[in-house]
Amino acid sequence: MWISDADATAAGRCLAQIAEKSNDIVDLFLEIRREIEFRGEEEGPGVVERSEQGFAVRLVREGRTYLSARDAFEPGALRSALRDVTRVVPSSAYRVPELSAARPLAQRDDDCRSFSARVRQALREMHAAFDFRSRVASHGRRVQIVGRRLVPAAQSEDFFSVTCSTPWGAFGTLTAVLDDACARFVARALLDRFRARDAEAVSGVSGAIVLAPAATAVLLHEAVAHALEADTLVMSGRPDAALGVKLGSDLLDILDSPSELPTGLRRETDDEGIPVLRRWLLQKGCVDQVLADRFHAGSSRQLLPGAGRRAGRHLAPAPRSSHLELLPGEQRLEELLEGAEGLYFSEISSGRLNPLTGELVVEFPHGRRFRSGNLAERVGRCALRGKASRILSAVEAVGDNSVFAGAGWCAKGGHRLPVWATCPHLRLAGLEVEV
Amino acid sequence: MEPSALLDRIARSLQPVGLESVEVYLKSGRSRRAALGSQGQLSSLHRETGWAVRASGAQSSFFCCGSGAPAPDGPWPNPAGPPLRLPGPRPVLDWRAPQHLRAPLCVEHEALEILEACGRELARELPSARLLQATLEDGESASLVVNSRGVEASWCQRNATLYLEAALGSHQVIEYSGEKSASAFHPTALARRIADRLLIRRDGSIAGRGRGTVLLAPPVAVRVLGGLLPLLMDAVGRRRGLGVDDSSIGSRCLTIVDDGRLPGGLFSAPVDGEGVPTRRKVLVDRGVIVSRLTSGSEGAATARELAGCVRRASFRDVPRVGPSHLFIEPDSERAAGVLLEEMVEGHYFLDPVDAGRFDLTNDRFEMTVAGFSVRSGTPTAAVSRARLSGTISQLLGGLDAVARDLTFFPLGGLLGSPSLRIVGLDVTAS
Repeated sequence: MWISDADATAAGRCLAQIAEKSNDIVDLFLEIRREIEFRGEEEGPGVVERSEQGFAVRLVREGRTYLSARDAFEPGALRSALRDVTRVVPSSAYRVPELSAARPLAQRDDDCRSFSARVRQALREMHAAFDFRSRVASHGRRVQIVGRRLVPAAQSEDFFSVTCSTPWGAFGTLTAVLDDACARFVARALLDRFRARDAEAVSGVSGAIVLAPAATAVLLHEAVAHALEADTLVMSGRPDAALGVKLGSDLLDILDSPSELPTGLRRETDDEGIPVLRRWLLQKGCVDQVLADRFHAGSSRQLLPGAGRRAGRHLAPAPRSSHLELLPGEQRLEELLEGAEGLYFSEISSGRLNPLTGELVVEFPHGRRFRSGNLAERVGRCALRGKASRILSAVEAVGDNSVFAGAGWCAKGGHRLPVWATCPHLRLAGLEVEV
Repeated sequence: MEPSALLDRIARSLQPVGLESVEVYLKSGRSRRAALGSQGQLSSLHRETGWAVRASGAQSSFFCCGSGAPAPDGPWPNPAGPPLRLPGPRPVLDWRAPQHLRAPLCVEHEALEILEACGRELARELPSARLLQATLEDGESASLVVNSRGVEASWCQRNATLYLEAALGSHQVIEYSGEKSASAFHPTALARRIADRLLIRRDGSIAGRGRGTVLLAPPVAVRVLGGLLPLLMDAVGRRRGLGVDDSSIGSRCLTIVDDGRLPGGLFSAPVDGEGVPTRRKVLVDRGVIVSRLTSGSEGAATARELAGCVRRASFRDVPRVGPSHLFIEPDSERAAGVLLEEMVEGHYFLDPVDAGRFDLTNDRFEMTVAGFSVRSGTPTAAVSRARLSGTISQLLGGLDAVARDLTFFPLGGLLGSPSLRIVGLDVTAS
C-alpha cells in the first residue's frame, strides 16, 4: 500500500474473512494528513502544525455499521480493530498484516508564510490600507481504502485555506493555489467589507437579484447539494422518491464532478473506494440523481454510490458533494444587470437548509444596487429566506462565464469537509431580501 | 520513554534554534459511540493517542501536534509570531480523584438501548414526534503535561454526552446533555423535556409586544451567560475595552464563578491544560467585576492570581483560556416555582430557539425564545416564538432574583445557571 507499506493483499483477505454475507460492506480506511497554519494574531503561537495518521475498520451488516478507529499504526492494532468490529476473535488462518507508520507529507508552507504580506500588497495596489488578522494554512491529506476485493489507488487532497478578520467582518476561502490572483481576490473581498462598513442593511427590497459565481456556489451547495444528499432525503422518506422531481428552473443543469477538480484536488475514487461519477443532480431543473454512499445506495437500485466522504477515520462515511458544477448559460454579466433596479451580491456569508421543511436561509454580508446595467451604491447585510424550490424556480438567467469559485468548508453532521464549485453568475427574479 | 526524559530530548533538539521554553502534552483515551439516525445504527470504538509540543524563544513560538507518539528529535516547524510564556510550577491543592473515573465504558448494547429507550419514551409521550438523530458518546482520557519551567502534572477525565434531535411536523428541537457516565442519562426525563419543547413550538402563539418581568429557565439563562463570556475573558475583555475592573455591571443578585475543581463537576480536575492548579474563582461578585479568566501567559501582564482555566479540548487544539464550570451562583433559599408565583404579569421562557446575538461593544442583545405567558403567577398560554431584546445593562441590571435550580450544559466548557427573573426587557413578536 502506498500509504503505509503494509501488505494490501493480506489486509484484503482479512477483510474478506469477516464479510459473512454477500452484501456486507467491509473496508479498511488509512489516512495521513498534515496541516500547517500561520497566524497573524496578537496572542498564541505564530505557527501551528498538525500531523496525524491512523486507520479505521468498518463493517456494515443489515443496516448496522460497526467502526473501530485508531490513531497510530502500532503492532497488533489492525488485529485489535478487526476484533472490535466483528466482536469475536477471528478464526482466520490468514496472517493479519502489521501497519507501519506512513511517510510524512511534504512541506508546502513557504507560500502560506508570505501570503498575508501579498494580500497587504494587493490592498495597497487598490489604494487601500487597513489592518486585518489572518490565518493561512496548507492542508494535505492522503487516504487509501482497502476493500475485500479491490485496493484502489491512494487519493490526495492538497489545498490552502485563508481566513481574514477585520472589524467589519471576517472572510474565508479555500484555494488550490496561493498565487497573486488569489491575493487580489482576498484583498478585493476585504476591501468590499471595508467600503460597505457603513452601508444600511436592506429589507423588503424586491426586484432582480444577481449573484456572483462565489455566491451562486454557496446557494447551490445549500439548496441543491444538501437537499439531494441521501441522508437528508431519508429524513422525510425514501431517497429515490426524489428522482424526477422538479426542483428548480429549466435553466439549471447541475452536476457533482469530483474528477473535474484541479490537480491536487481531483478524485478518482471517493472515501469508500468507489469510482467517482460525473453525477447529474439536476437536468433542466429536474432531479436526475441524488448523492449517495454505499450504505444508502444499498437501499435502492436507482441510487449510485461514489459520493461517500469522511472527514476523518473517526467518522463513518456520509453522502456529500465534492465539486458542484452549474453549466453556463448565454447571458453576459452586462445583460444580467440590465433592468430597472436590482441587487448584486458578490458573496454569501452563511447558508442553512432545514431538511424537514425545505426552508432555506442565505445571508449576504453586503451587496450593491444596480440600475440599467451599472453597479450603484452599496448596501449592508441582508438575507434571502424561502423554500429552496421556490428560490431555485426564481432563476431567470444564467451567466455565460463559468469560473472555479465559492469554495469553503461544509460542517454538516460533524464532517468538516472542503467543498468546491465551478459556477457562472445567476439572476433571480420575484424574490425579496430582508434583514 | 518517561515524560521528563521525553521533555529533555525535545528540549535538546530545540535548543540550537533558540527555543528554550518547551512544553510537552500527552493524551490517550478511548470512547464508545452509538448512533441512530439517517445512517442507520452505528456502533463504534475509538482509541485516540496524541501529543502536542509548544516551544518558544525570545521572539517567536510554535505549536505542533500529532497522533501516536512524538518523535523527540523533530523535525519541528520554524517558529513565528509572538513568543509564549509558559507557567511555572505551583502547589496543587488536595485532590481526590472522583469515583466515576474508574467506571468502565458502557458496552455496545447498553449504549444502543439508551438511544432506543429515548425513541420509545418520546413515542409514548408524543406519538406523532420522531427522533431524527440520537448519538451517545461515552469516553475516558488520561492527560499529562510537563514543561521546561518545572511543571509536571497529570489528570483524567470521564464523561458521556447525549445528542438528541427530534421533530414534530416541521418543528425541530435539539437536546444536548452531559453526564459522568452513560448510565446516568434518564431517557424518560429527556423524552418528556423534548415533548414539552415540541408542543410549545407547535401549539404556542407568537408573543405580542410588551415589556415586563421575564423568568428565564436554566437552558435560556445559560445562553445569556454564554453571550457574556467575552466580558469575562481577560484577553478579549481588555482588547475590546469591555467592563472596567471593579466596576458594577449588574444587580447585586449577580455572582458569576468559574470553578475548575467543582465538586461533582463533569470536567473537574486538579490542574488545567497547562498544569496550573485549578480553584474556585469569583469573576463577578454581587454585580461587580472582580476578576477575569486568564492564562499563565496573560497572567504576567495582569499580575493576577492564576485560576487554572486553560482548556485543551483535544491534543489537536491550541490551549486557550475558557471556562470549565462557569456558573451564576444560585440562591439556595428560593425555588424557581416561588419566583414564578411572585410574578404578576410577564413571561416564563423555557427554551432558546436560537443562540442569540450579544453585542457587548454596542450594549445590545436579542435572542429568540419559547415558553409561556404568565399572569398572577400562573402560566396562561404557550408562546412558540418571542424575541427577547434590550441592552446588556438592562439584562444584567434588571436581574431581581435567582432560584436554586442550578443546571449545567455542555457548551464548550460547562455553563450553568439557575432560573433568573429579570425586569425591564422587551418582548416582541419574532
